[in-house]
Amino acid sequence: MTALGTITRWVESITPSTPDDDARAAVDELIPVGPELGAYVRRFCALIALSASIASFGLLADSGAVVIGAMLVAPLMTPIMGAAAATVTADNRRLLRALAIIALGTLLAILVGGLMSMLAGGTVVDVRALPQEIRSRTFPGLLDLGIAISAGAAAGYVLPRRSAISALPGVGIAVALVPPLATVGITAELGLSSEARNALLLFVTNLAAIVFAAGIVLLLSGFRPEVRTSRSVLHRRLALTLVLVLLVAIPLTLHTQSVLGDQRLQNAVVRSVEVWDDEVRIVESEVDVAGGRATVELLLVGPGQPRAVWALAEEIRGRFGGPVDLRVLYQGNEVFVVSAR
Amino acid sequence: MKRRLAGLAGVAGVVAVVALIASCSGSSSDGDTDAVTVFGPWVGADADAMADVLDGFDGAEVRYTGSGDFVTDFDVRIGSGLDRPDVALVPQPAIIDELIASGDLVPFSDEVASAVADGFAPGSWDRTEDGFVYVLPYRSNVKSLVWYRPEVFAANGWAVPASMDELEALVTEIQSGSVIVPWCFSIFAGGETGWPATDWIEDLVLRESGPEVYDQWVDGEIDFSDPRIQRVFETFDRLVLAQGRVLGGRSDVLEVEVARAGDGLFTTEPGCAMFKQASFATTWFPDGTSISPGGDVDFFILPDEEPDATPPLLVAGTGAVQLSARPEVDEMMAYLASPEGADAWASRGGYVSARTDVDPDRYYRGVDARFSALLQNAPVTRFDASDQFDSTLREAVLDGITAWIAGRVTLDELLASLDEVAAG
Repeated sequence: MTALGTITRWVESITPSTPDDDARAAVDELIPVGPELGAYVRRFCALIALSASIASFGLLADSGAVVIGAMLVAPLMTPIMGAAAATVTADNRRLLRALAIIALGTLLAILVGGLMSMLAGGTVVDVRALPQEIRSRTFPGLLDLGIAISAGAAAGYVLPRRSAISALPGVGIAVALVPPLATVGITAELGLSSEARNALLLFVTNLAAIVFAAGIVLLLSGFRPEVRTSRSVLHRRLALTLVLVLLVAIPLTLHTQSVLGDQRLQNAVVRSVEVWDDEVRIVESEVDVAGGRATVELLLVGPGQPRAVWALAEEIRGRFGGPVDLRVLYQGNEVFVVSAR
Repeated sequence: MKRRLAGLAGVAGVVAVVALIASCSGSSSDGDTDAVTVFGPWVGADADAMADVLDGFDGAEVRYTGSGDFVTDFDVRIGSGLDRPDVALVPQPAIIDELIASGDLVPFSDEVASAVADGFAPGSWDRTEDGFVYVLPYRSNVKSLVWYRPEVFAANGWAVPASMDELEALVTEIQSGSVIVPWCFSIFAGGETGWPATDWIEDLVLRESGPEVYDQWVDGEIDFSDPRIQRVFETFDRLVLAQGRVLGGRSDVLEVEVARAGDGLFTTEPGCAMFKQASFATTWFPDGTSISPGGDVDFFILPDEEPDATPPLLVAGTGAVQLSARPEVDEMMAYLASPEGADAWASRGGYVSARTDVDPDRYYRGVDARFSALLQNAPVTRFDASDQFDSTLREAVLDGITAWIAGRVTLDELLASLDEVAAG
């Protein structure tokens, strides 16, 4: 906390003391106050619902382009940037309002995702049968955290600079907020609770990282609390977002390690098959590392009868360095040439 | 993250193999000549159990590799002479006889030989030639078990049958009065496809024709076409394979892997009422399955012809043999022959043996103590016949029964061809 305090003080000392009025106005306009708020919330809800339904259908149809379209319609970036700005300026009322709107949008997007999944029908027996667009959102790793921090920083940079506003859609695409929520709704409706949790983790990652990174950049741009006594509030808020980022980093690190472990095993398998029989080709492979144990399923194609499969298992065990369960489907290359006249 | 590769048309063979590092270190290279290599038929959870056992040996490093196609793979390893394991866990006495005859086995050290003599009731595993002992009867199985779910039986008003006639009546009742099919059954097991059908035949021979006929049949004194054997095949066909009596019909019998054959017993809406399979099937049951008369699943012994007579018991097992005479291999065999050499597996569960030097009620866990009591108390036990046939006949039996179930040969053709092979 004190370290963060030292850093923010140092940042304050080297940055311009106040942003200009234009920049302040840009930030203030994020979430309107007074009578315009009702209209804003209605517009926000409509756009969230539309964006979430576009995203849901895009996810179910496995169409990346449609999902990107949904990201451009999504209005969630505005309250999230509002939250970041309110954090930095220690404006409690704005912060609470922004958080309430984010919570509303989150719930609505998940509900719409579930509803669309119900409308689309269908059941999923196997997680691997899910469309790629959905699967890719159910196992976030550290790369996703990196994307979210960079994009949050970009958003914080663009926000007070109207001249750079054209970059905002790119930021929205980089950290898609609605598609993970739609994925939560879809996977929950299909009864895939662990996938739903992971998709929610991706959303929370994006949320925490954007608020944190955008907050830091706004701070660098000269945004401060107007009252000096609010500085300790600023430090606490920033520390809170940092703690949230570190918390989500734990499961993300585990996911990343798991992916790297699978990758290492995959390499061991490919090399072992080469050594085992260089005429055999891997058609399909499924590898998984859990608790230090490797589970490998291979579909192999090769000439004639397979060589001893136990020898392949021992080869993989030697390279992987731990217990291996191997299952091989072997397809002999049989060529049939016929003429019918 | 797990998924099974879909079965593809034209796939030549499915080979399941597990390899596990056991004991001291996982990092030394495969070229390490000091490591003791153990080859066996156990994969998956059974391989984990064996690795646990070998971890308890504090001598040389031990590596266990198990293959779902053990018999074929072992044959190649012995035949090529290059990849000979130091120790093999062999599920068929007939293979061991062939290995003794060909001089491939190393007789046990005095220490191991006396441990086997003092601590076991070897029964069908007794292989002592010229004072040399060759087999350690490592693990036993009870084969005559019929698994069922007590709550499903109770809900449908079915009773555990006390005789073969009652079993036939029960099968008819289940088939006619319920969406549940009487039997779960399949025979697909790679190069060993067909063995669960041989178990059925053997159990029925023991019951319909009696242990004397069984012994004569095993010894080749009675033909397969003998009416006392032929009628057993007909009983099996009628009782289990007939239309509507087996889950998934004959195509599932031929295609579903043996380890998944009983899955239909455990589905929320059960697919089948009964699953006849050996004691080792417990490792295939879903995690956390409780086995007791009031639990998720329980068993009865396939009944005798006579009502309420204690039925005969078909048994099988795995014997450990030694293929190299290095001192560290002797040490490891001595470990396997001691009660500690199976302790890790006995505490995990899923293990019984012909060991007489332990208190079964304290040594074994849960249902294993019941299996052990069955092995000790059954008035008539016979060892699996097909495991005692020589490898040529065994292969012909497995292939022939599979072809008969698939409808490619008639029963008469099957029995005649088996007699031809048996006659050499």
